[in-house]
Amino acid sequence: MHLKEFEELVIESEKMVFNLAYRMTGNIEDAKDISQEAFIKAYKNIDKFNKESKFSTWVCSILKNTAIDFLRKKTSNLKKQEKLLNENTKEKYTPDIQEEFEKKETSIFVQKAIEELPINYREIIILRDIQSQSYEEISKILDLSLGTVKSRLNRGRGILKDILIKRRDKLE
Amino acid sequence: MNKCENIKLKFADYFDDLINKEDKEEIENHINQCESCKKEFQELSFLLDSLSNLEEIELPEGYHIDLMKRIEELSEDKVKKFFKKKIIPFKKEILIIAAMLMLVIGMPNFEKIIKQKNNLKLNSQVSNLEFVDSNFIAREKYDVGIESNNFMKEYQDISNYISLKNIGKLTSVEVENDYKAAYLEVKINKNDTKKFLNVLRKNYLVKRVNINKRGVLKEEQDYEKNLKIIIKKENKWLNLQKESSNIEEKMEIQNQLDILTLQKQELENRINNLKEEKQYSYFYIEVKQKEGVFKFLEKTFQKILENSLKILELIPYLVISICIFFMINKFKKRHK
Repeated sequence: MHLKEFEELVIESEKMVFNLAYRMTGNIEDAKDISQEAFIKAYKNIDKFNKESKFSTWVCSILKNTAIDFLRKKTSNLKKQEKLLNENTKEKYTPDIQEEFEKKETSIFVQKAIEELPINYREIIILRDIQSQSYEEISKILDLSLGTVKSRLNRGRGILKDILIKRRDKLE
Repeated sequence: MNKCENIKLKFADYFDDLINKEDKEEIENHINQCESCKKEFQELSFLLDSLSNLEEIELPEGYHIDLMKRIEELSEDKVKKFFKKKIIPFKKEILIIAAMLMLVIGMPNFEKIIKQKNNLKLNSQVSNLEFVDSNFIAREKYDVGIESNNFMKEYQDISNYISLKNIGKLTSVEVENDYKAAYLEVKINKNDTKKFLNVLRKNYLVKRVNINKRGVLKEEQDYEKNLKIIIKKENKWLNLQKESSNIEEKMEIQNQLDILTLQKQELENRINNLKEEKQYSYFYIEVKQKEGVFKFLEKTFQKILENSLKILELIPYLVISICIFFMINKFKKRHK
């Protein structure tokens, strides 16, 4: 595929892909890295792209895998850091929830709650409830049946609700 | 208890609007009676609201440029690998000589390229006319070459023809400083374009040049998108107005609605204008003095002569550079 053709596809989908990455990671720098990685992977494997399906759907499915890899590495690093902290100071790591609330930015509050979700549920809730994509598109991106998408979405919503309530209680 | 579970299972469909009337009523009735389900329902609706209210984030600065750079480097890497595989077996010296030769031979061409670029600049200054007015939509461009010294008469003929037959309008005329060419912008009713072109073809040499058609369509799409957004907002406000009982609040909402209707009208006007514009075909006509055959031959012959002379001038440089190259090589061998 010609570079210009590819650029047109990128322009159409980059904002959405970047937003998905941001909601997955909660960090603009990481989101930039991951989403660009996904586009580069897409460019390398452009011959595998089925032209009947949407380009954004395809890139999202690539993004999903890169994001999972990335998050796995990051969490393992975090755990190591936490271990070190615990060994050194024997104090528990306290998240700065209070600060967030003082900023009164509920969007950050919700975003942090999303980050606590397990990846399986996180991706599905971002795609459906934030980006409001259709169930069919989501089942293509995640390579799941419609039934699993729906049931997983329901469970994810339940878990997220619990997380939000817990965080609210902590604040009060 | 069983009923509560059943009802809760239907909540998701309720919020997706994938539910029939009976089920909807059933849920609403049940919620009014059962506290725990009501609580669950409210929590879920709050959650979905706050999720869908999360704003879309703008791309960070330079995101697109960065990304395209990285992708471009990728494709360049492919080219580099290809060359590494194929060319490494040759000796470096051969490569250097080849490069020098290319440089020396390329020199006259290089000048030519610079000249061409300058010409292009001139041309683009002239053809800026096509896009001076953003309302002007150039769909097709026609070059009209005329074999006569008195071209001013010709372009008057064209404009007269248009006004007499009442098939369109001359929107702008530009004449070059030295009176060697004129540029006309003409809009012709779509039904009459064939006739007009036939007349042009009969009398003059007409060459067709396509100009991209995308600008117009995109503009129209943008307008329509904005219109949709405004209508959505309007509906939201209208609903709010129905619900609210406070008079002050109502006044404020009315204000907002007034602003929206103004915006709507403007957009609709613009869309209508574009639709009107679409009824016309737009032509960009260059009326130029054509060169005779003999003059043309003379000029090309002169050019060939000039260029060959330049190559002769460059031969000493070539000899000198080759000498320097061999001297360096000898110098290296001695030191080894």
